Amino acid sequence: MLELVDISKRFKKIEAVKSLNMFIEQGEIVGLLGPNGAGKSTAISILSTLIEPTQGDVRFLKESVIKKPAPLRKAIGVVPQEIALYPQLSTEENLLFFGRIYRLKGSKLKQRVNEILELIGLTEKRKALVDSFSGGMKRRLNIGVAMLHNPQILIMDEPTVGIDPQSRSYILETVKRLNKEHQMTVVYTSHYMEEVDYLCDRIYIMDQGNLIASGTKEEIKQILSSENTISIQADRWNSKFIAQLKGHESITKVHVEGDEITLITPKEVNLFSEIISMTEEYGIALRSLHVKSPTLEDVFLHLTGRALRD
Amino acid sequence: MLFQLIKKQLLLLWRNPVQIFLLLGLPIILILILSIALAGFMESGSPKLELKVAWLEHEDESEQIERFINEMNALGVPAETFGDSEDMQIITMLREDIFQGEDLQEMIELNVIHEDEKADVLADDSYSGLIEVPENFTYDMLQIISEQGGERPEITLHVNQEDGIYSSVLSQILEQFDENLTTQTFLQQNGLAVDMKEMQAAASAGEQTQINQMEPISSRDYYTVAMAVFTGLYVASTIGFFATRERQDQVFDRIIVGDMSRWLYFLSILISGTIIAFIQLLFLFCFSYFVFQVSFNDILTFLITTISYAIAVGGITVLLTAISYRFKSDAIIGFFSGVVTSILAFIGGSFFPIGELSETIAHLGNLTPNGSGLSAYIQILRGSGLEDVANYLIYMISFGVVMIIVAAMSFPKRGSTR
Repeated sequence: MLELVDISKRFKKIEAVKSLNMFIEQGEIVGLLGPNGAGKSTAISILSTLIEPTQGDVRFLKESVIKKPAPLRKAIGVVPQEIALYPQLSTEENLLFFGRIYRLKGSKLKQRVNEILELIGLTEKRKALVDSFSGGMKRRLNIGVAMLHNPQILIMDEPTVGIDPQSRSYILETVKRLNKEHQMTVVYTSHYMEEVDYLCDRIYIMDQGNLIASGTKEEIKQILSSENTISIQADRWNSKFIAQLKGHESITKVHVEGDEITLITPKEVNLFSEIISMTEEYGIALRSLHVKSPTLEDVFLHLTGRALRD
Repeated sequence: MLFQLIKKQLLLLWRNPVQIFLLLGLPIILILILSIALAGFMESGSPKLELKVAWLEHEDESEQIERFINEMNALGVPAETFGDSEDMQIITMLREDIFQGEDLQEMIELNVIHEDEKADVLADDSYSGLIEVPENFTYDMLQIISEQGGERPEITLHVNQEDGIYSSVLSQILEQFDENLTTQTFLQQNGLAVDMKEMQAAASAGEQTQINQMEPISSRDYYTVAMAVFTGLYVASTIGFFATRERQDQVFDRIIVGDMSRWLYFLSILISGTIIAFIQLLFLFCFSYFVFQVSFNDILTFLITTISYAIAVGGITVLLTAISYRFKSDAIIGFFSGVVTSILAFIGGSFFPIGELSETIAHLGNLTPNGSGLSAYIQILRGSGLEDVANYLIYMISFGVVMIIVAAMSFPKRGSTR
């Protein structure tokens, strides 16, 4: 349905996206995962026809849309990373304005505005100024505006940044429902791996402009099929203990986050007794030690040596 | 679609009380303050003179006239030849019709004194001068006029040297009077009719006239126009800020993804700037009309001037927007509103009529859109018509067009705003 073919984008000296290939099939939710600066937003901007790639092609229904973006623009709804709304206008005024931008008119426009207000749960706030909204309400309206013209593809660029857990949950459920009930295709970028893990059928992982992994969740997690992900939890850590873990010949990755240390080790190696001895040696009060199922975060750690939120 | 974009800009402005105050409230306050505070400065073309003058007559004039009439009758010359006795009251005419006449009475305080007071008056610095009419002045003068011979009498003026300008005024009044007497003598001797009173009145009547018969303008007229064109420039930065915010918040991206031409957006900024500037100017001029009675007699020329200036402001608006989009920064708009506007206002004469300092500065001022607008409005207020202000109008429209062309060249291509 929609393809990025060998796309690169250079901004002066910075190559934001390098030889990216992506395809999106109708009715699926595709996740684009990566830390800040990975090139996700640039890829999304190219996909949304907002910027032209330095090289490569964007194809919609097998037709190139780089020079003739109109067919794709009619088919997509874009939820920008920023709250792309007018704070001084009310919810309804914002929806009416953007609805007219999407060429909706008269009773059809009013009907769509009512449907969207219902969908995003802001019917009671239709006359309220956006300026008075919480971050979560603004995010919901930000999504609602993108759906006014009933797009085939919804492109969401980090739509849950800076909002409370309830609003985030509401947005994730809404996206899931849209996909299930309306077979809406969704391209979802985030640096929250749990969001992508929850929502997406297929995932593209980017880092420093490169595509480093892609496939279904299961396929990606298979990357770690020959590895064990060991989680160690304790009240406090000793720097010598961490140094010894990092220097261990059988441990491929060590990531410390708060009271938890995550280790990636070969499956055939059992380090449990050795780790327990080391904690005793350094006087560390161990709380738990277990092998866990690999997450996307672990995959990213394995592939890049860094955590997604580093 | 274009209408929706413009309507949205107007709505955004309407919902922004700070900007409304800046565009409508602030100029009204400035007009009030400056027109009152600088009224003296603006209307001081003829400084108000207040002279205290002493008048000393050594002999009653009516007796001299009676003596002259009797002598003329004895010679067989009818006294009516020289008019009636009132026409012969040369000194009374000078005192009452000139020094205490309608034109000078507010300026001159004339105190008639007796001879014994003369020394005190001459020592009194509060007096600007003492006019001393010698004995037999009127009789001797009538003798001269009637060609009876004799020496021409003279009025003595004692002036206070410290009151230079006032002394000069007194001297000029007396010189004018003397010239009129000479003229009268000549006309009389050549058998030509003359009305002494009319002649003196015509000579002394002062009138404030402007070059080319232009009507004078008040400080309220001036500052209404000056503040209107000055704050009109803020329309450009206000709309420019709104547009920059749209870029920063990715609203512009959303509009583009809605498959709207960026040139339609560009046009909406231009038209919004022009319309808002036009409305702002009309509002301010309406306010001044109702509050200060500042009125333009030639409404058509006034409207064309307002549209021309609004186009210039629209051009600046779209240029600021284009530059801020190109450089992805609102710094240029801040610089324009904080620095450039004040410089343009200063050079353009919005703070005071700077053009009066020199012709070069006046010319430089007219090169600014606000200065050009100011000059056009002032000319209309002074009674000029469309033809007289056509140069200013052409300049303002041309300025706007140049701004639009530069803006169109600067407005970034697809994707360059990110």
